[in-house]
Amino acid sequence: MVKWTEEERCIIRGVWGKVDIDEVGAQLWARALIVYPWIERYFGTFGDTFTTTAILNNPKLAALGKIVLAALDTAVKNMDNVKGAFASLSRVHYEKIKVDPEHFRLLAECITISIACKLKAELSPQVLSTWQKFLSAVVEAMSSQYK
Amino acid sequence: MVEWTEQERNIITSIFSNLDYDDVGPKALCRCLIVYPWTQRYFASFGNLYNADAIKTNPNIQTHGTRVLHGLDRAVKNMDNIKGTYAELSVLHSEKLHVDPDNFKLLADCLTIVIAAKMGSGFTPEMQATFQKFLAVVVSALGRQYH
Repeated sequence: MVKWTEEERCIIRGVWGKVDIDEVGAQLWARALIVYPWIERYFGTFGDTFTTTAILNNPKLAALGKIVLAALDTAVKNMDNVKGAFASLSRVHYEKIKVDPEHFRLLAECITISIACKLKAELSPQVLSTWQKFLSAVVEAMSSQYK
Repeated sequence: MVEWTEQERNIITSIFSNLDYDDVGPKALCRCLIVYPWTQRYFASFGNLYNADAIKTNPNIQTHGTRVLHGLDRAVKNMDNIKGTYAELSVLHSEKLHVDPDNFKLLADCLTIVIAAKMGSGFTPEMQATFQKFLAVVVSALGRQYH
């Protein structure tokens, strides 16, 4: 089980408190799809995701981004049991959506880059280190129900 | 061989022309040493690296960070033959410095975060995609002479 110091908890809540879920969520999938275009294969039912402009203006992607960040909020509020909190979510991604678990890591990177763009120097090396530890725990929890 | 569009070339040269190498280089290297502490083992002769503050104020790290960015500058000026440009550097990192090539990607990731923090919302998804493509080519070229 992942252990968190009091300082790490404060850092993670501090970073998360500065994230506007609507703002970052709307751009999150656009960034992921543009930087890692192969993940387009999960979005066959999302309409036009074939050009940069279409991706940036796709309302379904924007909505999904906010859903992902709402789930991340659950992880922030359940840091001591992210695995338990995400068990059924992991199962859905494995059994139903069939997501390659490597792609959780790619999305996590995009989340970090979006936050870096927003927080700039506030995302110091030490803060980044703790934030990435948190996201690794989330990625691991999302992969936990995969066999 | 890697192909670059005119737009990608412009993005890369534009990002680098707006960088202060003396600032960004050391920041990226410090971030790498703090976030991925095992990389400190390559810098045993650099003096005090025992905590984040020591790393951030270490003059050898400053110098080396700047050197790394100037090395990247050579790749920017030789985008059509990064592999050839870096052949000797790759041999050096393999045979003399014994750097695990996985660690090139870690430094590349840290540099991306520093650039994102610097450019803020100017670091659009397209710029991120191009920048990461460039760094992937650099990382591959540096690992090329390993055997």
